[in-house]
Amino acid sequence: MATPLEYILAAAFLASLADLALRRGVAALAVSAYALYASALGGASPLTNFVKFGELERGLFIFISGVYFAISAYSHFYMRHAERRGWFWAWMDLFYASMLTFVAADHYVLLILGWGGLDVASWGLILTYRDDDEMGHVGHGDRKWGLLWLWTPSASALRAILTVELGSASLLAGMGLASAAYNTPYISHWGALGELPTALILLAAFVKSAQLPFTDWLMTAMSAPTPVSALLHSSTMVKAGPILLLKLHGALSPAAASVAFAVGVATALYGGLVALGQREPKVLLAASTASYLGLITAYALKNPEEALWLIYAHGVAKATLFMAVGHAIHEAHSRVPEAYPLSSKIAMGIALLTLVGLTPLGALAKAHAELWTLAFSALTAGYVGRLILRTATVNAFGAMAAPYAALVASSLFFPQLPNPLWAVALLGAALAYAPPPEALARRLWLPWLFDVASPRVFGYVKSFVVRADGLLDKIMLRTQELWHAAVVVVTVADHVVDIALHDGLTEAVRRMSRAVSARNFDYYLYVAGVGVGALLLLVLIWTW
Amino acid sequence: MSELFVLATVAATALALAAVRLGVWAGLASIAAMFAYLAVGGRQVLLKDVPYIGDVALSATPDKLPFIAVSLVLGLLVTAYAPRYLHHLRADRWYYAVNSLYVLSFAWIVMFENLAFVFLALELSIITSFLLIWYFGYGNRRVVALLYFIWAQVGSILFLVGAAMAQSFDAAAFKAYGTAALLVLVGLLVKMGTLGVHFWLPYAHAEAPTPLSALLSPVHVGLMAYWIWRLKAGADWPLEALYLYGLLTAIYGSLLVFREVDIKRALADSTIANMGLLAAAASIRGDFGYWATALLFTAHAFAKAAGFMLSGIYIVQLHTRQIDQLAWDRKMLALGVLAFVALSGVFGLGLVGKIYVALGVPHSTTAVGLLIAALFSTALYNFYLFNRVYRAGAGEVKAPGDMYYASLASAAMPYVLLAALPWLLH
Repeated sequence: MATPLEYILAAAFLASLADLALRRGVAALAVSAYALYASALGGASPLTNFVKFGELERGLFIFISGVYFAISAYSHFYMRHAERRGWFWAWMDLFYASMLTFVAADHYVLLILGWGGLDVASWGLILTYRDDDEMGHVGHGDRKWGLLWLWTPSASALRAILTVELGSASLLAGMGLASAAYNTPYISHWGALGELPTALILLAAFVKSAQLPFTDWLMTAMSAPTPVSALLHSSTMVKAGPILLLKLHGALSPAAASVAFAVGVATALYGGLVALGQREPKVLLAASTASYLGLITAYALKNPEEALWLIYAHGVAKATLFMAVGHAIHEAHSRVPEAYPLSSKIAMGIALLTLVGLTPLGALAKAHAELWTLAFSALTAGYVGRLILRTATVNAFGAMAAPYAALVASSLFFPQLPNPLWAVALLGAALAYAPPPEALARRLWLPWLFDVASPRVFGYVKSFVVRADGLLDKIMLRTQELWHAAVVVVTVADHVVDIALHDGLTEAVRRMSRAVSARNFDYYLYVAGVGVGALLLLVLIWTW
Repeated sequence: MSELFVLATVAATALALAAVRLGVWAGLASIAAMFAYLAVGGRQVLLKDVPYIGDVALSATPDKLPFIAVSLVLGLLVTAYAPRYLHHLRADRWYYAVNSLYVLSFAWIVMFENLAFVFLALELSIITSFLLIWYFGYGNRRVVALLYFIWAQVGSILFLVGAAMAQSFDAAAFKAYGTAALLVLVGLLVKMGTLGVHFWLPYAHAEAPTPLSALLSPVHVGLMAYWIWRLKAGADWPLEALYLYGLLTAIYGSLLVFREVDIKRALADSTIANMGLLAAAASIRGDFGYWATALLFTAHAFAKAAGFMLSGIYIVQLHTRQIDQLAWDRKMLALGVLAFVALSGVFGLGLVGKIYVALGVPHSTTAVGLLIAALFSTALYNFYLFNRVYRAGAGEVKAPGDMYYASLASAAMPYVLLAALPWLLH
């Protein structure tokens, strides 16, 4: 009997609470295993119209749950002695649940909820290490161009959430316009979208998938523990950008496909070059993610099938690469390990072959790829080659290797033979020996845009508003003085009238009366005579 | 059913007055009595026909329920939170009496169908909150209390004059044009503290005793959005301009947060921003306007109350409100994360509210630009604030259980209520 999809989603969210209490990730393993089983074999079907479960969603469910299962198993070893385990597992499960919700959603409100869950979970996960824990730092603390080249987890988390929220705000606006235009919240019912909603949805996808110029938050997100990076870069968060485009590709115009292609290729080039210049292996892999997300974005609207297989191949390979690098980091207790366990090097080698198209899964991803992508494969061979070829090897395996070994082995079980042409890309491994220019190590100065230019512009706007508000507030408070002045004027006027009425008038009447009573009778007779005469004169003048 | 309402009102008021002697339990019982009426009481009650004023009716129809229920639940949570704080303030028991009347006034503000009686309920809320600021506030509390009183009076009197000029106090038949409509709207906006009439809000909400701030900021001002939504059908208001003005207020209020060093003032500025979003929500035509208003009100109310209650724990335990002097331990970190994320609207009920606000955006580049700036900035300042508290460093806070769990319940509500999502999707 098919499991209702909504129950799987609810269980994934509830796993977050369970693992918060248990601090062990038991629920993560259980839920991801069940979701994997239900979507691959057991059948899962929606109860309501809010979600849908077509081929795209089913494939993504299997992919996301499989990768999450492997990463959860790996995290049991990696995070065993970590300080905030409850925190870590709760956010990881929320991350996973949000991604499944986003993928399954057909109602746009549900889709945005999943999208928002990804934002907040990535923020929380980047905060896992304390600021004073060197394992959570990115950069080496030198200062260049007024910028301190060191990011602590709290700084990285803030950078990440501030960047991705720009995309989320854009998504809300774009989806709002689209939903209003078609008068239905179900995205599968939407027809061609207008220019404005298309632009907003594209922007949202670009920000989420760290496309230029919104790329640098992805590098400093490496403050998170390695399993987080493995999840964030492989099957959740950044993949939501191109998956959004895949879900809406029928509604987005050919012009949007051209824009996505241009931005994607530019980011692919940027990420590939920057990866060559990185000393920290996790930052190197982050730049590589930007590069591959660029390629996926470039194809998402032009060739959705190619983009989808790239998502799968890159996801499996990148999760493997992160877990393998994390194995070395965990063993060495250093962000820049000098030696790697043999198991991790073998896994990295297979992952590299997948990325360049030389494993069955990689071959599927390259089945419709154009020849120019060979250049990016060569860059991949260069920077992954740097990790494999230019570091020492420790003859160690250990249980921690099992999850990533199993994951990377899955890339071998697909019915597709690789095209030997793509093997040319391996020549790019020579780049591993080329000294990278300073500009690449500095990520082509993009951090300057994030940490110096943008805060400065924001600071000017904020100062203006705050000063204007303060000035108006002061003026308003000065009205107290006007009020007091008005009170004084009224009080004085009232007093004057009071005196005039109660003292002055009575005194005047009294004096007049006294003066009148002091005169003799002849005086009044004389006044009356003059008065009558004057009256007669007036009458004569009037009648004449 | 009018007897039931009268009975509930008399019981609630009597219990509120009994709190002068009996303290917190009577205060809680007073609010619970009104809550019980809501649970069992009638949906429409006609009390009396008053000359010149018309029918004095009240209702608790489904559209009003979220506003009334949230106000009363928060009233209960904050009253349960208050005793230790009031001990810290050395406040007398009569605080609970005034506090309970204040909470009851929220229910009446929404329940009355006659705008003259809405005005009376507003007056009750103003007088009770004024008294609590006057006697138990911080800083130059008497000046602040007066400032608050005058602004609040201006707002409620403009509302009354506008309603009177409309020549009918019946909310269901409300029709207002020109000056009358404008006065009603400006009165409600003054009470909300939106851009240009917001100057009183940071003073009042920051300097009020914290349990009062936890009701004043999330509930009292937010309830005005219900009346904007309710009256807009009969009022000649420029709704598109009101939407854009709301968005501008949200951006402006968000920017003000960045000036603050005091967590209570920062939360007060944040209220300005959220009132902007609420004003925009209330101006949206159609069903989505209601959902945007109700969801944003609910999410903001719980999250903001949790924020103020969090700051109250710091005041009691660390004796400071300065953001950079705060500290966090495991419990305070959990509370802070829940409160600030809910307030940001990045996830939880607030996000659903923001989604419905976005549905109302006019199809123009300027409006969309403003909307994005408003949605972004209202999220931005929360993470900035959290980051400052976080960077202040770890340290033991030892939050008292009664204060902590009331705050945690409030902070968790915007997420717990997501369980109602299947009924919220349209």
